[in-house]
Amino acid sequence: MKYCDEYAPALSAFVDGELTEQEKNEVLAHVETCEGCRTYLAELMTMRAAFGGLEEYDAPAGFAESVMARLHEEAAPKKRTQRKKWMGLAACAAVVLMAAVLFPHVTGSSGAADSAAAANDCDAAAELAQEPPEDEEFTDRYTSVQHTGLSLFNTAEDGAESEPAAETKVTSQEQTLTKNESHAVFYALSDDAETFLIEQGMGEQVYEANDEICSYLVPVELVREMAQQGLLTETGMEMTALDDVAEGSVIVVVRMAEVQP
Amino acid sequence: MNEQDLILRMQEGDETAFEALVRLYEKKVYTLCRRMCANEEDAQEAAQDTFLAVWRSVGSFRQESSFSTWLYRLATNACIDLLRRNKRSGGSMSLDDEENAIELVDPQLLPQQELERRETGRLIQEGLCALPEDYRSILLLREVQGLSYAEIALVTRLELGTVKSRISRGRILLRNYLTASGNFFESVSSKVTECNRKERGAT
Repeated sequence: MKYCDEYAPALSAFVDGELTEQEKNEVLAHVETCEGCRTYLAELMTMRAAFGGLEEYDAPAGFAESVMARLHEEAAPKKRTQRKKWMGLAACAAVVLMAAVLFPHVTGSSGAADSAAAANDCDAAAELAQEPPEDEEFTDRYTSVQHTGLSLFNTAEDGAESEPAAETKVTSQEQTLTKNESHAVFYALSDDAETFLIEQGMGEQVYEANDEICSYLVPVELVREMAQQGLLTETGMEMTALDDVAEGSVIVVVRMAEVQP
Repeated sequence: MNEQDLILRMQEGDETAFEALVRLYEKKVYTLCRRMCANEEDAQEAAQDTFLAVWRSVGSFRQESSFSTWLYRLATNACIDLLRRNKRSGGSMSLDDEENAIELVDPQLLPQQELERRETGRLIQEGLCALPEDYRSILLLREVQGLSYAEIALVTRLELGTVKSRISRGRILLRNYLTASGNFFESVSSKVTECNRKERGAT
């Protein structure tokens, strides 16, 4: 027997001691008569106990010294990561030029392979690679990109290090996505839909997550399965759009601020 | 020298005070990072990033708010940023298999309870890693750092109601993972049945 959806948050808050006396009594009264919720409460407590059994970690030996070392290193004129990037690009440019000069009669693919081999060592190397490697399944690899401006935890004022927004527009060997990329967008505005996606291992494929919207980047076959299970929020347009997307991945929105699921 | 003095001195550019604060908080920050990033290397980098962010933006820390709230926010941001950087370069989360790696004692000599504790701990960490980062971080702030909902709201700058629902959602997802992955809750249903039986017997 499953727990009652409307009681789940209260049961969770109960375990955290975050309910008022009245709320606590309500929950206890309900639990007395509801086996599903009683089981869920016991599961929550089991998880709580398991968390309690987690090891505490000591920081690695010499941690404080390593922080100070990085502090002094980054006080140098150019930032470490910037320098590495520019060096990488310069090296790649040199290799591509060399390849073009040394192998003018070689077919396009092996020339690209030479420079691609060197480019693999560089960070933003794929900008210079002529073609993606032939055996790379482009559609199978996708990268989720979070714009720092939309970050859930506002980083701007905190000075936490995050990649500049311009980086999101860099073409790379994986399929990089920007907000304006033309991916089909589907809506599955329910907790059940999100649960389904995470159970299918999509937890790491968050496309966008902030107060207004939460979406995942999902392979088309999985979206078809969601359609079969009735997890997609139906509009006539989306169902036919699904047929047009032959392969690859689409964006599935599971939460939107102005919509009540 | 208390924490307040250290912070003030740090804000004046005193590196010794900063280093003292690092030592004061390194365990808490590293633990959070270790559970978020699931391996030593990433955790160390994220923890270093956290303290460097403290140093760099020490000017924007207001004395009225709690230093640890601010610190946890920077730590959570540092972990999420690192995880996303790793994703962009094609990697995925790598879990340290440390439970097996640092086995100095013959496991057959360990009491059953200890083995169970380690096993459930390992499963919980696996379950955490299957969650999206914002669910993972909020569960860690609650369960590992022991912050209240109000404190979590300050760290994450979310509404209290959102904190409550997000923790609940995270727990549901974690529970579903643990149920699917084996017998994590096996003892639970039998205990509940036992309670039910006792209750019926009593009435």
